[in-house]
Amino acid sequence: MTIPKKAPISLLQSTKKVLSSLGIFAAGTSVFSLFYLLANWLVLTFQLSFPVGLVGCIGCLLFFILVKRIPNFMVRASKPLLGHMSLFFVPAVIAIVEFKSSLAEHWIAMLLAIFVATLLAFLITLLIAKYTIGNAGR
Amino acid sequence: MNWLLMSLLSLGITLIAYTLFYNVFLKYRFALLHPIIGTSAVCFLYMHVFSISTKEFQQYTALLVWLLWPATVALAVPLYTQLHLLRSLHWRVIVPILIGGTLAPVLSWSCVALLDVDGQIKMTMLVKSITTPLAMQTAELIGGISSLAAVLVILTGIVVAVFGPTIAMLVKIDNQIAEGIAMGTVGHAIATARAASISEYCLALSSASLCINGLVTSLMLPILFK
Repeated sequence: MTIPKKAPISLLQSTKKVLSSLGIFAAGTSVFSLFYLLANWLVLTFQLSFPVGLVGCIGCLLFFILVKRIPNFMVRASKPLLGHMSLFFVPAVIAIVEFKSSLAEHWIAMLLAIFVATLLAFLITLLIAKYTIGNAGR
Repeated sequence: MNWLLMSLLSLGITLIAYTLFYNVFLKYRFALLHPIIGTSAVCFLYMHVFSISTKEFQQYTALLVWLLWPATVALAVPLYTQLHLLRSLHWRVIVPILIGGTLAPVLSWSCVALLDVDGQIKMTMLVKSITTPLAMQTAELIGGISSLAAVLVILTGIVVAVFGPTIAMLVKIDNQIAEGIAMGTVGHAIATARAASISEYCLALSSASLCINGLVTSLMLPILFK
């Protein structure tokens, strides 16, 4: 028995695939950006004291609820945007050097807040959630 | 021309470093290997070697900052997909998220307030348990420091992702829904990535919790502190 050879993907086909993915990403990102810009306009016009991203996110959620689905191109664009979100924080994280002396001065407080307070909050939330959920999550 | 070259170089180095550390993270799935830690370290080194200031680096990599806008709005996608869970469990999920979402910032704020830390750092502590893009914008609105917020949020997520499951084991809680709620509420997206390795239920509840806590906290803090 001869094993049929897998047809090689031509350069044209793979280029088409990449371009189509890029197009979908660009379309989805543009729509998300439009929601952000609309939110920015709302925040500035009505002098709202909420983060623009939050207003944009709520606006987008209301849109999904209204149309009762998420358009496929938006789902596909959201995957790389959310999956690689940490990449977009790098320029912001870099600015931490500006505060190094202040942070070094208060390192005990920072350690307490990041470790002790976080784990205590986690434990309490876990216990409350266990109580409210009951046996449903076992 | 020089600006364009430096932008391409800065973006290229950031992207290469991120790809490298992201693959290492995917291979070992350990929170301490989160790609942002390694990528930032490489960027610090690059800035030092080329004598680039923080402000210049941020200008060169402005494209990445711009992508944070649509990424924040895209949080509506997982929130919408988890709506059915919220409808079926409603108050059973909402109550622990609201309590945990209040406790996490209050406890951290108390720690730094007791040790007499600067006002700006104190305010930044209030956003450390919500997802980074919302945390950065909310920190700015309430008089905190957005870059510090990003670092605190990531460290908080790592702490929950590394020690959260161990704490659940120590207190003998074998409830994946409860664990997912606690991980998403206190440890946001980084702990949610860890929740994915526990179970699908844990992941779904964790992502729903991170979205709700992010929305509620970033809505409430500017009202309370502006």
